[in-house]
Amino acid sequence: MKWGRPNYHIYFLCLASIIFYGWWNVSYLWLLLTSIGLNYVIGVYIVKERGSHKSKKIVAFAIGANLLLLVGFKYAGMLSETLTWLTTIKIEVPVTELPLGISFFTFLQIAYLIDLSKDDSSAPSFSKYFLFVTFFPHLIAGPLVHHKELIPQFDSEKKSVSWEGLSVGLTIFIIGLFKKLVLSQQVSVWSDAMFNGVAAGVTPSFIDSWVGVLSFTLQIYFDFSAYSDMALGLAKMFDIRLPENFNSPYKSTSIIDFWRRWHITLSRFLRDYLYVPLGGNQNGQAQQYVNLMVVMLLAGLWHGASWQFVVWGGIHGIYLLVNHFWRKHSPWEIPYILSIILTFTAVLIAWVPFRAVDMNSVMTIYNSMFGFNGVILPEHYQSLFSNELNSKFQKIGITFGSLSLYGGGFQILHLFALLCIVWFMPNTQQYMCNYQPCIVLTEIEPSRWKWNSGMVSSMIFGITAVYLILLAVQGKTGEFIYFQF
Amino acid sequence: MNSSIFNFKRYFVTILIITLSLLSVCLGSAEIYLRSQSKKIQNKNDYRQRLINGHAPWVAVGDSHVANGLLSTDWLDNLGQPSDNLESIISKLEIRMERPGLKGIILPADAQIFAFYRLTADQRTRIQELLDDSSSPLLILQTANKQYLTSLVWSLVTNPASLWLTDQEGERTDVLPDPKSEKWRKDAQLRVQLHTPVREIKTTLAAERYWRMVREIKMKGIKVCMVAYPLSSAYRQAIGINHNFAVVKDFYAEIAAIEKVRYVDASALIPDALFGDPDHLSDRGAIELTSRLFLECDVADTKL
Repeated sequence: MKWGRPNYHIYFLCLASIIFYGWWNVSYLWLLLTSIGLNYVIGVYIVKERGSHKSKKIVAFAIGANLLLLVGFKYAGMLSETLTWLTTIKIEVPVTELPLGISFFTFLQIAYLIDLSKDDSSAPSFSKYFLFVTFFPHLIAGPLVHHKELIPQFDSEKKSVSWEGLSVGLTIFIIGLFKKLVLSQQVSVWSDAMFNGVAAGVTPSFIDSWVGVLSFTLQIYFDFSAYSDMALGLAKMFDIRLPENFNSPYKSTSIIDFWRRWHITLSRFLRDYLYVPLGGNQNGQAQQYVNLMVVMLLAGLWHGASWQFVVWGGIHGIYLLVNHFWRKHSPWEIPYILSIILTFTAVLIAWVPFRAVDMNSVMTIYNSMFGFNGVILPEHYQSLFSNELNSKFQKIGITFGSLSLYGGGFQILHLFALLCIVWFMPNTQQYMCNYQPCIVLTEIEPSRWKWNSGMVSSMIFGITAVYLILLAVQGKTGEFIYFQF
Repeated sequence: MNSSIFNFKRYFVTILIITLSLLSVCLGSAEIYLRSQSKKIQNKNDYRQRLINGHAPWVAVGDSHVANGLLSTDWLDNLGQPSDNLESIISKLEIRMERPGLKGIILPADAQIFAFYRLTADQRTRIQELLDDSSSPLLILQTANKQYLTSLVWSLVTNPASLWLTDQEGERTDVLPDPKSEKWRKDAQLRVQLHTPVREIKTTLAAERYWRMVREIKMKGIKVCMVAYPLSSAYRQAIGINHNFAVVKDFYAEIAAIEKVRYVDASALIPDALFGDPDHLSDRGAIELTSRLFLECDVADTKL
């Protein structure tokens, strides 16, 4: 199915993207449109002045202006609070709602301007640039697309809507929706209960805290995986391939590996536009460690205007330093399975400041996770042990009582089943690998279990779609976690 | 047209046909079923009216213990609703207190207010949905119904005959389960497990909010009557010597003593025969408790 006249598909997708953004939050549509307009004009100017001394100044100005916009809307409140805390000087910052997707569309355009100043490509037409920034599958939560990956795909000569694109895209979209509405749903309830409970003054027990944090670890995995799939699927339906953004990160064997699999396009952006310009690993190990730490702290800050995100980034920064140091100096290699479990546990522990409501909650949860708030086992376990053993338990601080969140066998089975999916099932790219659903950025091992467009498959996905629509009508959707960034 | 394109076309069209047809059947059946439940719809409308326009001098707020335990009468608007927690209780009181004529409030003094699942339940949208007048003409899209949509559709799939039965819900039968049965005892244990309050409740924000709520109501010159709602003997037995329940009871007693408000411990007031399940009263039980509270809360003294 070919589009009618040249560029009609671009205008259609631009309109759809504006409606999509306005549907979520119409009040900041002006900001998005202004940002696009100004950056496009600056881009044209950069091309015109390319190579001259003026060009560098324009790029620096443009980056500054974009970052100022981001700071103004996203970080002003945090900066003001920090200033008050440090100096008692109080600056009133009007509380405004965070413009949806501001971090994404700002970074996307900064990267575009930097690239334009460096390479010899010409500025695209305004409509193509507009669509590059606003293309609705990636507008709100990524992936952070490179302009060279996306703009050539808008070329009208090549553009058509195919049955293959529609089928593959719809299937991926349904898989993503399933992850969001089914797989991440129950764990989000347990996770919210634990983290909100701590914020309300409830001290979780050892088991409750681990159940809550493990639940969040799985929730954010399926939530982000779901979003990534849905974005890829929607784009594929218009025969456009977005870069892969998520490649089974909990199968990582190290933190370095984790950051190559989790939010792949953000890692790429930080590497190309921050880590490398800082000097990367070219100026000795000490400087490399400093660069890594700076990048990870800023990566944390990018996620949200709160010191907790900085702490989260800092923890990952420390992990990365340890990982690099270990690689260089360790006498032995950690066995494969142990390395996956170690990486997973480290990532799980780091999620606490990412999700907790405030720093007090972070400390309470860590204390509970490491047994400093006592260990309480379910009351009925007492009958399983001898009196002698029970008194020994008591001596080392293990008591029996009612637990708040721990739900027994069903909960253990549920969490175990999700962990099995995470660790042993092929991911969507592997499952759909015959149809190239995305621009591959990492190594994707082909899976034995592959999708085909047969009758049975269509019936399974059709019935699943009905179930998911009913769940969506029921109001089980909730926002994606990454929408707040 | 090559075979693979045909496959993709067939695949896509099949998904669309299955989705659209199955969805129409599911939503259509659910709508028909809900429309046949006129009594349930009437109950919901009555509740909404009591919340928005009720003018009885006393109100009772709380969860299902209150909803099932009291009747709305000329002196009392029962605003109890299953699953209400402290957050929704306070919101409902704020709505009612905006209107004049309120003389007294019956507050729940039950342990489950401090149960973990109640403390952590987010009920911000619950009240707004009750107040929202622009409810959809389709019953399946109204908040009260759509939150149970998948279970409703599933029950219609497993029992299609229920489509032709009317008003199954809302009827409270006189044939009550046996309070001495094993099932009853196990139900009681399960309920107790669910209702167990968290440890150290005094450190929770909810405890502080409860206390503040009592104080603020009193400051407005409105009488407060705190009531621990009736529980069957099996439920009380299942509580046993659970320390967490005892702490909550002491907490309520302390508030009542310091704030000088009436505290009615009705937990053992009603015989098992008047219960519908281990911790909810039957219709007859509700009649009994309503008249008992009229006396115990000194309602007559508030110059109705």
